Amino acid sequence: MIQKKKSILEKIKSRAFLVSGFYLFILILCTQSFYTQNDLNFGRRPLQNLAKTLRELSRPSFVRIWNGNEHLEYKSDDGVVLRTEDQKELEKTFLHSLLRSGWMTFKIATLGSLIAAILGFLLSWPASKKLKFPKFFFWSSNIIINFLRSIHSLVFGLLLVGIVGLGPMAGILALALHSTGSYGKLFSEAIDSLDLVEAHALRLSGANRIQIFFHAILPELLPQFMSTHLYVWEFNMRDSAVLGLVGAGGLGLLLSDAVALFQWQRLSTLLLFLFLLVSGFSYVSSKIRQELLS
Amino acid sequence: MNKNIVSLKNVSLTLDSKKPVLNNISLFLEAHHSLTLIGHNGAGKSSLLKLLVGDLHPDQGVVQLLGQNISKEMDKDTLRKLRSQIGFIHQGLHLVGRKSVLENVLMGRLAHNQSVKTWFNIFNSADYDIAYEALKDVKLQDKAMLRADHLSGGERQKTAIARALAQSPALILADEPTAALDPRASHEVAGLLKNLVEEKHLALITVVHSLELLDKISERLVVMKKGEILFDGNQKNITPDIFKTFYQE
Repeated sequence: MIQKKKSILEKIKSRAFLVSGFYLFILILCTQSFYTQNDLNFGRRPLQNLAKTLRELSRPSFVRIWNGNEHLEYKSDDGVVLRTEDQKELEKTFLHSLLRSGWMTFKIATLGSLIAAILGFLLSWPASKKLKFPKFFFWSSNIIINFLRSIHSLVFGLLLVGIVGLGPMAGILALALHSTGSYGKLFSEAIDSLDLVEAHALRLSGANRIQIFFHAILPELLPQFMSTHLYVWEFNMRDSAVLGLVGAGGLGLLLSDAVALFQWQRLSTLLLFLFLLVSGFSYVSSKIRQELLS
Repeated sequence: MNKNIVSLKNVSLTLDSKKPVLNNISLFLEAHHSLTLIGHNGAGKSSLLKLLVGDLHPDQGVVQLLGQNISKEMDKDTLRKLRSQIGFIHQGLHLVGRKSVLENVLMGRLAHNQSVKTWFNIFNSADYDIAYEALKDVKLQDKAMLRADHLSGGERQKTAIARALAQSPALILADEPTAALDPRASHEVAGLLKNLVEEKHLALITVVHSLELLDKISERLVVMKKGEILFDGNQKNITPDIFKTFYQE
């Protein structure tokens, strides 16, 4: 008996050794490949660049609302005033467009997530291993889920801008397509982890299939589904902010403008706003999720 | 007229292991009567209960419940109707934890009320009356609105009994209803089960593992061993020494 246990332990040890060895091999291979192509460098003056970027970012543009120059003059080399600028007014306009874009981002994330949740919900049942759907439905739903999951929403965004044109529709559909895969996967895993004993008990008491679904299966799954929905919705807030980079509407458009025009102080305001938006949403959603799953 | 509510004639059952789970057994139970099944794990007790609700089907022999043959060929509606008259109290506590005690008991009415409204938890007042009455029977009416997963083990088992009673059954099958309970709660639940069955003139088949509980539940004792019936008679004659032999290999 002891001998048997020892040999099992030996096997586990040798397997763990093999796996870690393989991982180490992959690490060495990746690093060596980068190194030989001289890709592992930080540019010419990384520290100075970092310091400069941090300096710019530490002065977010929104403070100009209070301390901005109302008569900022732009002069030519010979001292002629080319134009004057009211920084306070300009910043107010920027903040307005920031709020509008934030609202747009929120709308894109909300609708995209809802569409995805509905499609993911429908796909998750045949994709679940536990429910033993006919193989055709099981495989097709799993292939669709994995295909959608493997393509980033940004890539869908690029494709959809070409199909439905610039604007929020491309963003909504891009998020919906990618997230359908995420929802399908997470929902089907929730179904797989379901204990069917309650359902079995109801079946033996003479309840019909639909009654069993509504009374024993859905009550157990719904909180998990809602929690997943909030989680992916929150995730999509971040994603939809970036989607604007490819012209799919929302905060990303402002982000791409700020980067293209080297307006780091505006970028700083944008990032702060994004941080507040996402963390605020995350706080509320985590509170609701805690409540749902308790 | 055949008064037997349960009738198993020369029943044999083999599951995946190819070793017979039940070997040519015959067992009869009259309406309004009770019996207690005991035997070591794997003796075939749970399989026997499963045969009675059509969850398993015998390789040989006849299983009759409430005068009707139970077979693989039976149509689903007939089987459902038959099942609606059997209150099954399971080994584990098979309640929906997120639902209230009352909602769990109302689930016992599902087989009797197949209306679409029940999908959305809407039951008629007669169902509510029956469920509430069942809760009163097990003295849990004050906890009707509590979530089932907030109950103690004993209270959960009482909820399971109330759910079985809400089915308005002719027969109750209880598969180790006291297995997950401490000795005090076990005695309370066993006593409650016995009283309710007597009061409502129901038939009862219970599986237990404890000699002390036999007294609490029924006079008739059926001992199973390796898929066969070893003893079928009055439990009063069973001394602790004889009881021990039932569990010997």
